Amino acid sequence: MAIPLSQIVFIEEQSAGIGKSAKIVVHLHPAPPSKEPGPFQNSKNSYIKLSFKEHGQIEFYRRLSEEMTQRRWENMPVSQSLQTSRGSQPGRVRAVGIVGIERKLEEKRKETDKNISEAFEDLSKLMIKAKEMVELSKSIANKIKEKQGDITEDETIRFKSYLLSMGIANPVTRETYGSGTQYHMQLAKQLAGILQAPLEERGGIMSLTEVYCLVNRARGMELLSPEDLVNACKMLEVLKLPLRLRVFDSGVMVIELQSHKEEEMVASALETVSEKGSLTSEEFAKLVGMSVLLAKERLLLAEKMGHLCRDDSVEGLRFYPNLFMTQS
Amino acid sequence: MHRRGVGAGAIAKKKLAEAKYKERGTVLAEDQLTQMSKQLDMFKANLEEFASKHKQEIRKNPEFRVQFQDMCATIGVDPLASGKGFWSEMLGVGDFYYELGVQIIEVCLALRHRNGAGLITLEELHQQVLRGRGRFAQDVSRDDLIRAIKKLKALGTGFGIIPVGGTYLIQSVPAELNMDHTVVLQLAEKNGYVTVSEIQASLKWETERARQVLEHLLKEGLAWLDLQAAGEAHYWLPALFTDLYSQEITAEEAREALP
Repeated sequence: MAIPLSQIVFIEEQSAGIGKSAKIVVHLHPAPPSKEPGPFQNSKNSYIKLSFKEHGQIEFYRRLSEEMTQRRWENMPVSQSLQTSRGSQPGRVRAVGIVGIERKLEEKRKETDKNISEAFEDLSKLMIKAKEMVELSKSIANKIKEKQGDITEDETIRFKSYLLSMGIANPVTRETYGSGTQYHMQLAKQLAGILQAPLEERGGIMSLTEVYCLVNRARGMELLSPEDLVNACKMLEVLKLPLRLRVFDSGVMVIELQSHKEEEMVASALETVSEKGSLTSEEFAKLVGMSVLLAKERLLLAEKMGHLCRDDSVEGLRFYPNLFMTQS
Repeated sequence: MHRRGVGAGAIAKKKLAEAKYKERGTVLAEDQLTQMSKQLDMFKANLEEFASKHKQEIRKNPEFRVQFQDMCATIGVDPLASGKGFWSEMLGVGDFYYELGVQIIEVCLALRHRNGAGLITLEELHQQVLRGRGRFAQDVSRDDLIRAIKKLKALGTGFGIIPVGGTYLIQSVPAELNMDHTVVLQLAEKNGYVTVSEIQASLKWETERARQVLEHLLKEGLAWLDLQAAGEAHYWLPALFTDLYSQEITAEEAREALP
């Protein structure tokens, strides 16, 4: 809400008292007939009161008095319209300022449009060239198929790295995973270095999602794609690094320290469950300080190994020690 | 008469020709690899030029990103397959989506305690991601989120995208959801809940089939049972309660809003 200063006749202070805050009373001219429609059409009062609950009235009064003394609005060449509605009205002249701004916006819009259409044109041309690369790679892949394994390892490595650069799926194997290149081998070695400590902190095992976040947060730039990470992890064991990739039956993928023996952890999990009688994944996770995801996998593994039994109801999945095994 | 192509001699000749062709085949592949290498260098240069002029467009314009992705898909190229790819290195598309992936994972993790089972609407995910990114970050569209999530599937995490109504539900925890479950979720999208009668009427299923699906959803924590509803039991889907979440404000904001 805004009222032009030119409407003000006179201002006075009212100091604060018990139960009431400091006020400034602003006496106004009657509304001009050309007044824009607003919250109220008219009022029985010819003043407004500004209430200052905490402080600020002194400064405000000082500045307002200054403005009242200077009366700068009488010196302005055109009156500034504060309304958002456009269109000429009697007695109001469009401020140069606003038209200038609008023109700039329009120019900027046109410029942006031009940029975009140019960008699209260039993009289309680029895509035509990219398509040529795809065709060429298919042709090479066909040659490779015909030769049926007569291709040298060197050629294979070269071809795979070209495909990686272009983002083309390997036409020979049809897989975009497991297409290990030099890059992925290097990456695997790097990962072994980066992940050693975090793994030890987390009990020797982390889900691939955690690893993805950890590694990329640390890098900040030149991030790894999910596929890069998976392809690199697939090479960990081959390269005899101290970590390995493990895929659970559920499809959950984890990285483990080579020294980590999940099967041994199962024994301690059984102890924990026995102590408490029964546990859900969430309860177990909380007790042991693991993520629910990995806790569930451990309990499922324990079940698979015959140490735990499940109780599957609408209340959730609960695990009990497998008494069929222990008490015959 | 001279018959061609028959007889031991002809067969031997054929074999020789085949062997020579195979040899040539080796040379051809080698040649083609070299050719590809050269074309790759040229393409890289073209891409660099494109990037110098239009890199900003990709970063700032979600529409442009969609076009770009669609074009790539049409010709059989995945610009997001690897951070080592040209597209990633030169256009920076990679970093944009891979970072988004991290943010999506973090949001889903943070919200999991709330709805219990890692199922949220795309809208809510969008809101939370934007909030996390802060005021000065690049704009992120729903299309961007979907593409990032599709990439995350490679991590074997159980990220799923389920179309419901006019939007999507994003699954972030491995919970087994088959076609039956998905269809019921879609049915529930209208009112936020579903009943056995509704399922029977719309899907023409038997009571037992409906009951099993609903039980599974209850077990996975995706649905809440309301026995006090008028008529029959209502099965509510908290993941669809987007309205409630969008009104959440911090204590500070609440204090400031008070007169």
